[in-house]
Amino acid sequence: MKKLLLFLRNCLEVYVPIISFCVMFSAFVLQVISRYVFNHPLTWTNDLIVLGFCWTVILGACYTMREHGHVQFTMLYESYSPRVAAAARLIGNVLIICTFALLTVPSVRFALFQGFQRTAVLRISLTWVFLPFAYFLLSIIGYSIKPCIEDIKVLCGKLPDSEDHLKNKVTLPKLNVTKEAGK
Amino acid sequence: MSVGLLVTLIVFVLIFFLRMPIALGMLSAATCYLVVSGHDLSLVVNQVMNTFYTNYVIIAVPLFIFTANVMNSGKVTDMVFKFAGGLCGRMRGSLGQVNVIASLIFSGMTGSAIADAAGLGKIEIQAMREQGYDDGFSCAITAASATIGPIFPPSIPLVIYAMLSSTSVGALFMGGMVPAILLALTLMLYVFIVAKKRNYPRGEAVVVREFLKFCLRALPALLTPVILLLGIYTGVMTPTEAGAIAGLYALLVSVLAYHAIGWKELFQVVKTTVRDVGATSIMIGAATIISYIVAREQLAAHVGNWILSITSNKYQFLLLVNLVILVLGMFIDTSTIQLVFVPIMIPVARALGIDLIHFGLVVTFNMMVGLSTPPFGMLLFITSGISGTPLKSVMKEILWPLLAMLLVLVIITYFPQVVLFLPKAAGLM
Repeated sequence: MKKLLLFLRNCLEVYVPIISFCVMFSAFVLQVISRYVFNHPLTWTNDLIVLGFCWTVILGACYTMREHGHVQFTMLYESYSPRVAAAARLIGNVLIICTFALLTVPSVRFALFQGFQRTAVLRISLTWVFLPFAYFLLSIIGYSIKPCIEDIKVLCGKLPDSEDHLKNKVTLPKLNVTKEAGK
Repeated sequence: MSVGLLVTLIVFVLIFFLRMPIALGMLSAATCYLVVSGHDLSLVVNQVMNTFYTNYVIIAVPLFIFTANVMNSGKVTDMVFKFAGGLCGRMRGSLGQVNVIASLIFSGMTGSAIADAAGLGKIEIQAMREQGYDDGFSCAITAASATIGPIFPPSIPLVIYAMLSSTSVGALFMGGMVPAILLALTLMLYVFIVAKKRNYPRGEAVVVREFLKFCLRALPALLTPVILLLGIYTGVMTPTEAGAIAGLYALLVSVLAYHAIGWKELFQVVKTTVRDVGATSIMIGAATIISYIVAREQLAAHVGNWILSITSNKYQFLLLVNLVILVLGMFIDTSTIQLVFVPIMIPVARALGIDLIHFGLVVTFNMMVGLSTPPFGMLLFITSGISGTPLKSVMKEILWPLLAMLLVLVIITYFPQVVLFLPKAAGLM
């Protein structure tokens, strides 16, 4: 059962965004080639491009969370003692869990409500554009629970320091301080 | 100030104290605002997803990230480095000059400073170490030259700025050319002076036949920026489509010309791209909901009025903006500065009659300087990390290249024509 769930998670967070990116990329190339080589502009590719982009970003962001790749400001966190660092991260994660939990139901409702609208050419329901956001919220909640348990253990004295804080201190200030590709 | 806005600001500050992922923290802050002010929570999904669904121009971001990752996984960096080496020949401190020239060439392919420092930087620092250059100097010049990446087209930050300011990506790209070349020349002058002073070795003499061989081998890679820029400026492709074509071309070059990428490597490249896109683009989405709050609370107008009460002189305003971004860049990541602070400044710049293409280049250049400013200079961390050089020696050596960058920043700030004459000449403005 656990293996099946992990496989499903991999499908949603790794394989689907990879396929979405490839579809988006191929649609772009096809669009340009068709317009300038065959003098035949395509319109349906636009639908695939925007849908592929939305899925790549939102589901890719879940994978980024798994890989601890989101941009963070770690300078203060690194200077904290293990217990203060655990308390800080715990508060932050609890805040994320609570707010994201609040967002989940309205997001699903909104995605379903958008079902009456469709993309211009392929007539794909916009529910498919908005629904991955609900998965994103649930996934982030899921990834935030494990660090919370670890931080509670640190605060109770069952662990000397969290893995994350220890790693940040040891590798200070290496690549994982802020992973960012966009610059 | 409304209670909702106060709560948002508190959560926003907490992001930095609690080490929350910034994009997720912004979404949390926005949710708190909506809860306190009694708004419908579905506004978050609506704003975030509509940004991705309706903003065609930002689709260029994942495509340029993909191109950068393909370039770094193949032998392209190696070819560019050898070609630049051939150009510099017997010059004193040749490898320092190669470092700058190779970055300028590479910047025409990727538009990412991180990709430049992490990919090309590794080869450069290793070669410089073997020839007896100081490690600190090698890392510092690698970090400084990587800054050229997002200024010379294509550029990921300029694409994001175009989205924020509704300006032309083509004009911004063209406006970045002269500042990037100016920065490269300034850094080369700095390398020349240091090489003479420290007696750094001369490069190896390259006979014409060998140089031609380097040129021929590097030619497929060197054609990337040519194809990209010609595609955009002849109107054949939009900048977004150009991102896809550049990615395709990089892929073809790596597979067919250099035989450097197989299926396994390609899968890895796309996987890394997806992870990088997730990190970068979700920040853009999260920033739009913050922008919604800023607009609703008329924060930009308040800040604008406050700034205008201090000064209504556009040069003083530019000085103020430069100082603020420089200070922020020392501590905060550039994407946060660009997505949270720059949108507040754009209306003021517009009100003062500053050309938004010029303003975009000034703030982008300044933010990229921030990638090399201690204590939180991402490029310093990368070059120190990949070379195993103590951060302290990199920080010591970065001082002069930083001054060189600031000199160029002053020039492009107070001489707008340096930025604007090319887009104007090309009829893009």
